[in-house]
Amino acid sequence: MNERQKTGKQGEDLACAYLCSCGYRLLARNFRCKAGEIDIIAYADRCVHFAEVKTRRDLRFGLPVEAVDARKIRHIYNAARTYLMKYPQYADCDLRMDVLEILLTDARAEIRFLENVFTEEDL
Amino acid sequence: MLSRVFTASLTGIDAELVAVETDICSGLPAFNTVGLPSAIIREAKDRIRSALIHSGFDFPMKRVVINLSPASERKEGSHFDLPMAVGILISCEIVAEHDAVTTGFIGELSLDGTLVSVSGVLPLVMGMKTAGIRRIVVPYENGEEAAVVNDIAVCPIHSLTELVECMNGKRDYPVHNGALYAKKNMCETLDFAEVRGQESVKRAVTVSAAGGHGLFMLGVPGAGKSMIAKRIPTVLPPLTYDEILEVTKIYSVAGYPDEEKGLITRRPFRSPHHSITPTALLGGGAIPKPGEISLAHRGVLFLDELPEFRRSIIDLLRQPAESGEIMIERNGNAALFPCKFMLVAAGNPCKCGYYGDNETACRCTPGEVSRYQNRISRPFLDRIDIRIAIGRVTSEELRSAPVTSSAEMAEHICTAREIQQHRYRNENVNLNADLEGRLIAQYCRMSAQAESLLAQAYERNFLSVRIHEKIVKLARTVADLDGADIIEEFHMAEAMSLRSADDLIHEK
Repeated sequence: MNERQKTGKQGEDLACAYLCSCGYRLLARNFRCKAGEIDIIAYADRCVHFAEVKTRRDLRFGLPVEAVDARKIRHIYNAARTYLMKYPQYADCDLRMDVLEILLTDARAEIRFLENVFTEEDL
Repeated sequence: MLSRVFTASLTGIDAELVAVETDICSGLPAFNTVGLPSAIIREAKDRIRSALIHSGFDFPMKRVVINLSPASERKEGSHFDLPMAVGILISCEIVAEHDAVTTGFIGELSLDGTLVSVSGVLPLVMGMKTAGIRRIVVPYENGEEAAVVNDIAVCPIHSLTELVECMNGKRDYPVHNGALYAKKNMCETLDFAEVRGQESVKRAVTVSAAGGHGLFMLGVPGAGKSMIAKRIPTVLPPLTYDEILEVTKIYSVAGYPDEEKGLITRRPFRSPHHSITPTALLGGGAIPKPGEISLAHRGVLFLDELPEFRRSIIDLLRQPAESGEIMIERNGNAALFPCKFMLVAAGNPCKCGYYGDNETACRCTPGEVSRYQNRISRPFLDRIDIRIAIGRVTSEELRSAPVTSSAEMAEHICTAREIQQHRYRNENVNLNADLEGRLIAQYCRMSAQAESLLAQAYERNFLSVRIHEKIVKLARTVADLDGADIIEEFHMAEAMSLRSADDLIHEK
C-alpha cells in the first residue's frame, strides 16, 4: 500500500467511526461493482446513504470535495443502483448521496459531512 | 403523496386551465417536471427549492415528479413557480389540501420566498374563471390587474409564508376589493387645440375617424404630421368595457408594464420605427407574443416616414389590416391575436421633402422623386382612403387662437358613428369604410349635382374605379358628419379634396 492509498484508508476509517458515532449503521465498505465503487454505505432512519470519502493532507490541490466531479458522481450513482438491485430490501427507503470531506493534519483530523450533495439532475 | 392544484397557461391572448400534479416518492432525490415545460419552468426547481428553504420549510429530499396537465400543450411562463411550490407543500403535508380544488395560483417566486409579479395575469384569471375556479392567488403587485375580473375572489399575497398561513386557516385570505377599479384617470394630456392652423387636416382626421377610413398625410417636413397623428386617439370614441378588457389582455400578454397598472382605458397609439422587423410588427416568437399591429388594436397604428419602411414590411400589413386579426403559428402553437386598428401614415413627397411646396424649391430631379415615391407599396397605398397633402403653417395661423379642439371633433365623430351604426344595424358592416359593392349603391345615394361632379372628375382625372368607389364612401362619411341623408354636391367636393395628395404622387 503506497502513501496515497494509506491516506485514503485512514480517512475512510475515520469516516466510518464518525458515522457510527452519529448513529448510522454501516451496510458496506468499499462496495465494488462494474459501474464503480462506493466508499461507505450506511443506514439511518429509513434512509440509505451512499457516501464518498475524500481525504487530503493539505489544501494545495483545493478542497477535498472539489475532487468529486461529474464523472465520479455518475460512477457513484450507477454503483448505487447496482447495490439496490442486489439488496432490494432497501429500494423503498429514501436515498442520499453524501460526501465526507476529511482534512488530515499532523495533530488532528477535520471532518465535514456534506449531506445530500447531488441529485439525479447533477449527472 | 399525490396532490393536484390549478393554474393556467396562455395561448395567444386566452388562457386555459392547467392542473399541476405533484408526486413525491422515495428514491434518489430528483426533481422532474414533465408536460412540455419551457426552459423557464424547468428552472423553477431551483427557485422553488430556495424559496421553500428560506420560508422555513424543508425541501423534500425525495423523488419529486411534477406533471403539467394537459401534457400535450406547451407551457410557458414564470407564473408556474407558485402552483408547483404549493403542490410540493401539499404533497409534503405541510399545508391542507381542501382549499386547493377551487383555487387557482399564479406567481413567480424569488429565492427568499416573496412572490414576484408576472405578465399575462388578466387573461390567466379570465381563463381560470371560465374553467370554474372561484378563488385566485396572485402576487401582490398583480392584485389590481386580476381584480378587473368580476365574480372571482382575488387574493393578493406577499409571500409563500403568508400563503401557507392562509391555507392552513391561521389567517384569512386577503381579498382584493375590486371597487378600486372603477374608471380612473381619463384625463388626456394631448389636445388638437394645440395644433395651430392645419384646419383642413383636422377635418380630414375627423372624417377619417368618423368613417373608419385610413389616413395618409403627405407633406413638407415640420408641418405637424406626427403631432397630428399623436392626437388622433383623443378624438376616437372612448373604449367600451369589452374593448378595454380586450386591449388590456393584449398588453398583459405582451408584458408591457403599465404605470397605472390594471386596465388600459385609453386607445393605444403605436408608432413603430421604420427599421421594425416582421416579427415585431406582426407578432411572433417561440411562444407567440403580440406585435405592434395587435398592440395598436382598437387604437391607432401610425407609420411615420412611410417611404422609409421596407416595402416587404409594409406589404405584410395588407392581409391582417383587412381581416382584423392575425394567426401566428410556431412549432405546434397557434395563437390568434386581434388587430383592428386605424391606420395612419405620414411621409415626405420626395427625398428633400419639398416637392410640391409653394415656398421652398424642391432640389430633387423628377427621377429622384419617382424613385423615392416608388418605395411606397402601391397596393398598400391603394387601401388608404384619405390621402391628404399637408402644407406648412403660415405665421398668421401660428399666432391665431386655436380653432378646433379634440372635444369638438370627438363630438362630431361620435354623432356620425351613431348614424352609421343605426343605418348598418341589419348589415355586416359597422363603418362607411367597410362598405362594398351592393352596399355602396344601396346606402350612398347622392343628388344629381353630386353625381355629375363625380362623373366630371372621373373623366377629367382618369380616376380608377377603385378611387371612384373610395370617393363615394368618403362622401358618405362627410354627409354623415353633416347629418345629411343624401350626398350633396359640396359633400362630394369635400370628399374629393381629401384625395389632394394624389396630385403629388407620381403614378408609375
